[in-house]
Amino acid sequence: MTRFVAGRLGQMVVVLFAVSVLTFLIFNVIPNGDPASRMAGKSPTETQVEAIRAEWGFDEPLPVQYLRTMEQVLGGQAISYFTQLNVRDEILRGLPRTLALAVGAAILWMAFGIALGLLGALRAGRLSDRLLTFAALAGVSLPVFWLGAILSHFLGYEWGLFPNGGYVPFAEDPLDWAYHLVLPCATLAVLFTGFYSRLVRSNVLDTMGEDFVRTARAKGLSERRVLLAHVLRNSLIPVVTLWGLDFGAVVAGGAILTETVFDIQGVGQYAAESVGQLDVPPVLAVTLFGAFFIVVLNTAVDIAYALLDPRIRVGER
Amino acid sequence: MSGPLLEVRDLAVRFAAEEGPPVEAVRGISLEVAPGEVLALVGESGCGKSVTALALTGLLGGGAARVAGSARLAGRELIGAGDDELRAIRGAEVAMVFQDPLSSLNPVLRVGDQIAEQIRAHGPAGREEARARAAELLDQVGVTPGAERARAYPHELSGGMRQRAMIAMALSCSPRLLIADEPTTALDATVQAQVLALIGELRDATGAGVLLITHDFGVVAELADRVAVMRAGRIVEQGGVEEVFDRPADGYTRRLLAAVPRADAPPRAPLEAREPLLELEGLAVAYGGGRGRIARRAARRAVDGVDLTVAAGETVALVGESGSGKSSLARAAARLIDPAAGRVLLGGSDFTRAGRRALAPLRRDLQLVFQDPQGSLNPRRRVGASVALGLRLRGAGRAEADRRARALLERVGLEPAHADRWPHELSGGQRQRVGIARALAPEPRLVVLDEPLSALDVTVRAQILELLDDLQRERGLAYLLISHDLAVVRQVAHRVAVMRDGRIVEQGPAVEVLAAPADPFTAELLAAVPVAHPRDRATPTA
Amino acid sequence: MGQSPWRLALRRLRRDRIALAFGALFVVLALLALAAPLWADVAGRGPNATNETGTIDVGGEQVDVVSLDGVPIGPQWRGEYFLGADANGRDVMVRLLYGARNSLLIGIAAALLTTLLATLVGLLAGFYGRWVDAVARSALDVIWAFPVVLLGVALGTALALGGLTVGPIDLAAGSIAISIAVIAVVYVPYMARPIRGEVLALRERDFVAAARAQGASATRTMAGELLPNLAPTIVVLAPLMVANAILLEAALSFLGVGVVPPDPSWGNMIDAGVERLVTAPHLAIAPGLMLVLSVLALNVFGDGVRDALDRRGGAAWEAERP
Repeated sequence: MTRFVAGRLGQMVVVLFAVSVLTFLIFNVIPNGDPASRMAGKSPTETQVEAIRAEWGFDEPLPVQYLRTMEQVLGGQAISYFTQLNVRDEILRGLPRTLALAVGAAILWMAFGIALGLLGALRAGRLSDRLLTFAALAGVSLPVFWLGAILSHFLGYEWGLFPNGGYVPFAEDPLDWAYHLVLPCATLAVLFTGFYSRLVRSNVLDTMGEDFVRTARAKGLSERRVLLAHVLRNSLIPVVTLWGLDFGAVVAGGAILTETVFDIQGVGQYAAESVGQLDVPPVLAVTLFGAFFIVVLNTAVDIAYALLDPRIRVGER
Repeated sequence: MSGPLLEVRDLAVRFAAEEGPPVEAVRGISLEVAPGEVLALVGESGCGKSVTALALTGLLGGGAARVAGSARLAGRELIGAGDDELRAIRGAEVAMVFQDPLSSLNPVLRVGDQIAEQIRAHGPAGREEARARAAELLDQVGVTPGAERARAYPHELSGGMRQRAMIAMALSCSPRLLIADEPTTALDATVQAQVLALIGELRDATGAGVLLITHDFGVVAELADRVAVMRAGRIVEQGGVEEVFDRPADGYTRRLLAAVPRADAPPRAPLEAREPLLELEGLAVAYGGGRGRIARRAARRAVDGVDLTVAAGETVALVGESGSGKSSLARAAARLIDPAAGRVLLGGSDFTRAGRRALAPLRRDLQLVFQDPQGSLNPRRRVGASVALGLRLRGAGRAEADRRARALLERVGLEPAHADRWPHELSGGQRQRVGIARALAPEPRLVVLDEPLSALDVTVRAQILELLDDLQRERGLAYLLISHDLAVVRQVAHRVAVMRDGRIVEQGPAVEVLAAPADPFTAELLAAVPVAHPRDRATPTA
Repeated sequence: MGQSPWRLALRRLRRDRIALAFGALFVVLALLALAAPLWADVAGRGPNATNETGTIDVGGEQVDVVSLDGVPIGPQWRGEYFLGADANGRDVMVRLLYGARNSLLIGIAAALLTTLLATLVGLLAGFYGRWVDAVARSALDVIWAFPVVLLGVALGTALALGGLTVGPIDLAAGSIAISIAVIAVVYVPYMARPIRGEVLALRERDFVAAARAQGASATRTMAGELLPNLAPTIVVLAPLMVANAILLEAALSFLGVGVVPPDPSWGNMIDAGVERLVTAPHLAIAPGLMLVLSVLALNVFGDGVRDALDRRGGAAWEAERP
């Protein structure tokens, strides 16, 4: 097990490096034109561009450029040339908001995903299953930014059931904090619930066809025990893995659209607003930090997965 | 005896089909099992024997199956019984053992916990008590030390140990009836013998009745007291085991018994010395290796320095249990995988190191027939095109290749029109015939037969064996037969090589190796072959 | 003549009325997009023609297309301003149909490109294994590490000013070719991974070994044995990829790195409409509904294709098992 963890951590370092190189390539090498003037934003002055070129090392060879870029971003020196604000500080300021949104949504979509998926599998082929399947497909077909805007407008503005966007820090008013998060979390969860319920349904159906489930029934176990101890446990293992990954993706900027629509002012919205100004340093930093976060989380999930499923442990030994 | 333990009357099962009329899997069968008796329900695939077992315990599930008739366990009606009643009976009074112990055990739960779970479902035992009892049971069936093995996950046990654990689980509540559905089919011969002996011992010790479902008359001859032969949902013959073996009344039973290769037939005499056609020299195959130093060290040698020759027109059988490396050897000989060491000579030229240009004529000389006739045909290509591929690759025009492919299909006993069919439209036996026709297309001198019979029903096996024999005579083909079935080997091989852990432990003329094995492992393999007739059992039935 | 596996699947699909209905819905939407110029004729103005000061006749009265305080007129349910006007007095229905052209064109082209790349990568990596696989897999893993929208945004932002030159092909900044390329690349791992897995499984099947033993070359084995067996997976994934690509295009345009205004796409129309939900809800609702309908149509149809091909298709070959 120690060896597996060590190996997995080694892999992680390699992927982190590759991710940073790809980010560097995307922003500074692949596009046509001068990277310094792109960094500088929409209407830079000549002196600004020159200063950026020197600071980021854009007149040096590519490996040096790469190192300078990483130094700028990871070292927390990068600033937005549009707002003059430090990029890392802005990300850290948005992080708690993004986390709150991601945690709430992840709990919702996992709970509803399992419940609806299980219901569909138990009623497979019947009308209720077909309706659930259709609802799930509708869920994954709804663009989150549109759904969010519509819900926020009607439930928030028109009918006044929920606040019309915005975020209240937990420390200020826990109740209001939760109240403001309900609609954004639910909106973000709709898409994932559609996906997860279909995944759970198909996994449960597959597992129900397994020989060991027949064995469990032949042992005279109650249907409830067969379902919980044998079917669900086996079918949820891959779902839990995916949950970890999707949660990571949401924290790392995947909630960019939801945050924007509901004005959460999290990491995603920071990126979205910078995109609108074609303000490159914040987008670069969010992309890099986001990918790093995901890679680290993936590693953690893999290790957790090995703890959950004994077969993996032996396979890797 | 106080009446039968299990009494089945006019049991019928039908399934709703996706289209067309419902499928009648079981068409009114009646049978009885007395306490302490082993009734073997024998039949070929699709005859309804497994469906019968599941119907008895209400495990057919879903709304698709309709079960009619009656099945009484010690007087209690099982068909149509309520879910709760059936649940109380399952595991406690009727226990089941299935074919594949790996897939039948939950992969993420410890073996001991899976047994304890059943104990607790049927009694007031506490967690610790049930666990202790599970360990005891494992000891009892020979999974020792039980206390330690109880903490293992299924994949950490060998195939035989897993099936023993399944039996321990079945026994945990002292059932009155044990239903064993092909309990040894997924196991090696030596393990099969042990598991059959275990079931026999337990029957003697507990006095439980056993319903043994199998396709294998060897298993029947070893263990059964009575036999019921099933075909297409009906029981065609039923009687005492010796009676059925000696005086089969039904024509189908006679055909089945005649198709079983005789384990006591005399082996073929060796051919007189000829030029070797295929020569393996110090052949080794490694898996899991890579380029790195650590990876190379971790590599496992599946084949480890094998020398073997096959002469023109000769049949050499390579015998071994699963994991012995015989299939890897076959693939390396056909240059489907590159050997880690050694070389293969085909008609005197080096096959292992032949470049692309030299390879084409050599490939033509050596063809393969595979175990699973379903997996060996491209499901998205018409059968005729699969056969014609070898001809097209050798420059035949489309029409010419098609004509010859049809002729080949006819030669292997199919209709020329089968060329237009798709693999999913053929039966297993027909597919294997297509596989043989495909191998013949390039007009090879040697065919490697990798377990060509083991996925087929026994009557089909006999036909395929006959076809292979005809083709050998007609075309002077040499065969390298990979097999675990010594009865088949005895029937066809001129020479035999016995493989274990990647090495050949013994080779020589079939008459010598099979009659007077020099290696103890060969002797063990031979001893594990089920008896040909119930009267030859080591321990006669009580 | 026998029944090919494809024909069996088609027969099952034909029985799935719901899937067919939604497939037809998508075709209708695509035809509407193609017919956009015809509607522009009916409406009497092109997609980008503004009309901030004009008036139209509503029930005999002349009404401002855009009122003095900037509120555009709502749906008229007739040729001119069928779905009302936007803040610049442009005809929303005409823009919706021209937007459909952009959204569907980008979605379909990107999905085709993804399918092509993913099949190539998955096939080569799975078939050759060793270093080819190692390189392909790490490349896919690295792309996989980025959240889809974020990677799309990053590429979109980076390419928004200067465009991109790939060998002889020059993708100008702001052209829809950029959107197509960005979306295609982002989704490659999502399709290449299952294809590679499928190839790994197929490679071990005996019929591949048989073809090689017959002397079939690597190319012939891939084209003749592997590709036909990958086709069902590709056919199942392709409509879902189009759906995803359409959604991502809308998201990128919504964020401002997709189709560049004034050219319409559903995404930038929603973006503009969200700000006016209070006074002119039709601006956001109309393109949103079109987006939902087209994506839903593809998803439901794709689900039916999967049912017809995948599970029961496999079961058809397994049907002989006892």
